[in-house]
Amino acid sequence: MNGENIDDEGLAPVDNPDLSGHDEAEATLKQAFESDRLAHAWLLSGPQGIGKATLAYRFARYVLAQGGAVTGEGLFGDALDLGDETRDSLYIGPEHPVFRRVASGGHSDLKVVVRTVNEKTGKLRSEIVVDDVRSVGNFFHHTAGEGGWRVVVVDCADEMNPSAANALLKVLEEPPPRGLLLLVSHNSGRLLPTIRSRCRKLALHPLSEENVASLINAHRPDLDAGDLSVLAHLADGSPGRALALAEEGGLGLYRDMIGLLETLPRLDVGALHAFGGKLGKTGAEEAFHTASGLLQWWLARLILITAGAAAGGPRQGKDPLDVGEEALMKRLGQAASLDRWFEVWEKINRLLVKTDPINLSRKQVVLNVFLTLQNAVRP
Amino acid sequence: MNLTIERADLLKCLGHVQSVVERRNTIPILSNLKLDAGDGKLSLNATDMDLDIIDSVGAEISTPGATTAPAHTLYDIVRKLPEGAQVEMNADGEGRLQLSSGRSRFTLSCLPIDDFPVLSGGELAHEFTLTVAEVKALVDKTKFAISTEETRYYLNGIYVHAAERNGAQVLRAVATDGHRLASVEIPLPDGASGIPGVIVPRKTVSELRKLVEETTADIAVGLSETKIRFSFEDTVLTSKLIDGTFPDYQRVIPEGNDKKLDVETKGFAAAVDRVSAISSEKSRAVKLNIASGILTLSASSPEDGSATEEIEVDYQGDVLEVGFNAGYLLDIVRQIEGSNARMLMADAASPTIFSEVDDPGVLYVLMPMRV
Repeated sequence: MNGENIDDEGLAPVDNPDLSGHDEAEATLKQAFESDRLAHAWLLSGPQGIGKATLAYRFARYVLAQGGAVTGEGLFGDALDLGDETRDSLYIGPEHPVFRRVASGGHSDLKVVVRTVNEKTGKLRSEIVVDDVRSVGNFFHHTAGEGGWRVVVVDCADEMNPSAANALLKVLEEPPPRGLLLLVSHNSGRLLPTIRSRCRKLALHPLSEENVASLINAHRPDLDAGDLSVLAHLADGSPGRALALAEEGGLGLYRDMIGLLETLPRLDVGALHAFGGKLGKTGAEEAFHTASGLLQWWLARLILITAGAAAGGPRQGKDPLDVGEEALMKRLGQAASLDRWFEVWEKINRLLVKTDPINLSRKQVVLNVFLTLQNAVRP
Repeated sequence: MNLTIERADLLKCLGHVQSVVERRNTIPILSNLKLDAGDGKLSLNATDMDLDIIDSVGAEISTPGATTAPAHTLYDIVRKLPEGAQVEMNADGEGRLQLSSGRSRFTLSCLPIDDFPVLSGGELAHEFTLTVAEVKALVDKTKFAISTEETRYYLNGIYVHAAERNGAQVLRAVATDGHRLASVEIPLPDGASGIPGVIVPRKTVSELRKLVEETTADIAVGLSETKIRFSFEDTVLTSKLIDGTFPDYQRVIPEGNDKKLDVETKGFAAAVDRVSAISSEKSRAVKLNIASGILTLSASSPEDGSATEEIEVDYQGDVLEVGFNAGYLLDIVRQIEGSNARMLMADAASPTIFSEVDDPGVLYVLMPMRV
């Protein structure tokens, strides 16, 4: 989960006290910390929105809350509730002073590296730049303000540009004693191999659909059971993604998209223009991203399922949403050869990725994508 | 929280702390001050997470309490209130601070005090007392040599530690940037034996210097492996330290320098200043030609021309020619307080020692330049 998306609901990783579905990872971290041989850098990897950053902050709080007491400087040495021991987790309650300070950004021994706002343009940068990372060096070069551990959270490491990554490497090479780096990565394969090799890896897995559904339910009680199950299904095991979809009207977009795909190979041109127009409007950038994400995901699944069927092996995809969608996938899957689908998928991906950087008209891109699909499945 | 305070008192107090708060802050709580009223006092706490200042001032407290409010806004408001005004502050506990004075009313939004960084708390293992003059000596004579180079972060501060010279225990402050080194010592205060060697960051040094300027009373120093604290009458400055190992500076202080030169400090400084006017921007070198009783300073630059000046010195020995960076040389000569400065040299390529003839506790080392 990225810090920026959902904060009104008390859900940003930095002030989310709850984590679910990662008991194993949590136990690993706890054990490592208690063994006194904690690796100084951890790479938390896994798909976006499954709780990597939530876990990182959870661990950070745990370490910061423990560390203060260990040195005997007595800041938190008193009988403050460090969480229910029986839970065997890294839980620190939201009333704990460390929790409060971490959430407010006021803990002097926690440094968070995220994308920053470019002061010249006033916009959030699209990457983590070298100055953001250099501040980590400065942070580690000062002693701990509360006398215990010093923790750095990089959320997320994939967003570092090459010079930032190299600067981080410098820090990873000579970490100070009682310094801890937690790197969150959605795509750890793309990180510098030198960074990966200096971190202990901890892979987090997507959550089960039921788990996702119950999490969404807890945070968005307003959604009905039908919407809930569709979201849980679309989210692919990532509660963050499910909530983002719910926020951005992803359900409606998904229904529109499926509706359009249903009309293939004879596209409903009117509906297509309406759909493209909706995504092309000023201010619809987010909707466009959501829709293109959904389409990419849908096509990938289509290919997986078709490939699975062709190989005669077990089906790769999850149980489709309803019979209509399954039939649609089957029908489209059979309408073109597998390598043709690969071509289409790649072409569409390239187009969608390029849209923002080179300022393509979003409506035109949508039209293009669906026409490409139409060409692919035309008999 | 409810209190009434003189505008002048509040302004002075705010003046002490607000400079610590950074202007551009993306984290809201870090642009706030913590206000804590109780016991007939209002104390203001500001931090940039590396250092922390608490300043207290007497006030008429009707309801004790604490809150946090935006530092710069508060400072701006109080600065613009008319002189002699009474300021009333009232925090409702619901995230707002009411401030009123005469017919002006302000409402500031507050953040909970639990969100505010904690840096100042905790017991520190070592405690001792320094006089204002001692702090000034330790800081002023070394500050100029602090490095600004971030790659050698452990030089970005003053190294304070207990040492021994000629059998006497001293508290010594050392700073260096690799080209020059400054070392100043005072007799070891009670309670300072066995202190860990700590590196006090540059920013803390300058905040400390500002605070020292306003006081005449002794300063209590608290020290641990990770923190240093300076307590004044109404102000407490707590800071993180630089987490690094200061290099073994003793190694670069030469011992066998046998060529001794004594010179009148003021005249020497003025001469160096004059001659360096001509030395070219980049190298800023001055050449010292030393012969018995006479020191000739010279500088030349291909564009500007050349300059020489002679001064009388107390020197007996072989003729020696040595070059220094004019800026560095001036920095050092200006720090020397006694009427006479002493140079100890070996040859034109070795480090030169500068010291005060009257005070053996002050010592500078400067690397020569090839000229």
